[in-house]
Amino acid sequence: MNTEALEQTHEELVLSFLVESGEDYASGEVLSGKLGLSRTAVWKVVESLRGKGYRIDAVPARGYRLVSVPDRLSPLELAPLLSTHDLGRTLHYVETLPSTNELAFRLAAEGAGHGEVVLCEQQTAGKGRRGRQWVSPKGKNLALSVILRPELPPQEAPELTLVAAVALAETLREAGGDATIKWPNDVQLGGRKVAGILTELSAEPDRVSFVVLGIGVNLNTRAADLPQELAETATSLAEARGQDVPRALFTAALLTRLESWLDRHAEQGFGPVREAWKRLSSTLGQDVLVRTDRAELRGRAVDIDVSGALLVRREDGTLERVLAGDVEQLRPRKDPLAR
Amino acid sequence: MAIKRKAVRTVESPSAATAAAKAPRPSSTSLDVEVLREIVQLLETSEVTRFSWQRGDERLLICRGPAGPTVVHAAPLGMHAPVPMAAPFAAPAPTPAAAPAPAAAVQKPGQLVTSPFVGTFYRAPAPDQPNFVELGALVKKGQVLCIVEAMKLMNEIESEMAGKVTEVLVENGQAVEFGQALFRIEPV
Repeated sequence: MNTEALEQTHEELVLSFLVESGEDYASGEVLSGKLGLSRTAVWKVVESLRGKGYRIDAVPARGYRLVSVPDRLSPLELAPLLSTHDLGRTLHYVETLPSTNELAFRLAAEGAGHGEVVLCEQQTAGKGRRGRQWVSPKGKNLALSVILRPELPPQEAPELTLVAAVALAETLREAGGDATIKWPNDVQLGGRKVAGILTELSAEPDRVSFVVLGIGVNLNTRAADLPQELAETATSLAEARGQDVPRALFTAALLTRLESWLDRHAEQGFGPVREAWKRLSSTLGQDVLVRTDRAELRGRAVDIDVSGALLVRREDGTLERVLAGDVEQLRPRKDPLAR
Repeated sequence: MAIKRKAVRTVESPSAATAAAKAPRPSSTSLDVEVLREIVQLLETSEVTRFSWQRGDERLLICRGPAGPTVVHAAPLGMHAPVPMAAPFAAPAPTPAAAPAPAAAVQKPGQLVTSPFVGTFYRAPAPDQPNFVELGALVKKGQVLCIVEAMKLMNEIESEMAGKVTEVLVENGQAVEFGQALFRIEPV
């Protein structure tokens, strides 16, 4: 381990002790004992953390107390907050990336393991569906990709995108937004898009080799910062709840929920995911217009089937099964959980 | 090539082997020729024109017309194009080296690229971009041929071999089934 890595480990350890102590002071003596460092060395680590934007109180005879953390998503901020068993245990943090999905896909192809996470402060070429861009200003929001290696036949892999939507909508609700899901996995607040999920699969004929789950969430972008063409259709969690979101905490909460839903999906199949999705969906019961590369379809969204496909009933009564497309909801349904 | 291998694996599958066990032959196909001949003979003396049998992954379909019965035996179900075989089964057990002259569907050389799940087939990365490959193009192993999407899960499907795209079997934007053939790639 080189010196830089060793220093980072010490910083992580000191931080995790401070996080654990919460409002209490952690004594310098205890810290130095647990880390096997001199008290001067502990002080140096604290100074280095301060240099990185951490506010740490130091009171003689009492010790150190963490006051605030910088709003960053590096392992230093995120790792102490994680309670997952796999997800995010290995973090690849790069400040600026073309696209987290692209790097994650490459890492996975080179053998990266289940649960490894790529995240960044800014994507310069964030990916959307069918060649579209996902735009997000630096340091405001969340862009991450999770590498999954599920024991699944490829034909069941699309279910994972609904698993992710459920976990994401629940995390947003926990954080104070009345999130709903627009089929298949756009997450909205008050009918405006707050998050998108784009998943990429690498498969052999009979099994999934890996899945890259790309998640983009508008957390702290304010309406005023949005480009005009997006202001009508997009929003952020901060805008909805009127206060900025601690991004590292949100990320940790999201990974925890995602992992628990992935576990449930692995143990119980798609059934419970489908039920949760239906509860959170704003699409079902709506008149919809589905646009694909080739055609348009109008009708009433009546259900999703056992594999997550959208069932749309046309006016003439025929039922269409939609596997891909952009869904426009023609009449917004009232959120039953809001107001 | 892949199709021939599948056909061989089919006739050696354990479910059919139980039928063959009572009359073992050296390097025999496990799909018992005697049993099959009996079935065919039985059908010939009956009014039945279509006989279908399925066990596990194995499927036997016999259709009879004026020109006599044809037998289609395919496995796993739905994953590959059915492999028509000539009847009666007088030929020795097929092996990769000495397979019986295959009928039309397997006569074409090369490899079929199939869809990994039910979804929508795209020939281009985006609606306003050129296709990944065109008919007749030479492709490298690992080159992306198309995307299949379901529920915003994107699968870029790569060619498993170097060769030439000799068939494009699905139109852009069309729905595809699990296991449906999308392209044929022939070695050059």
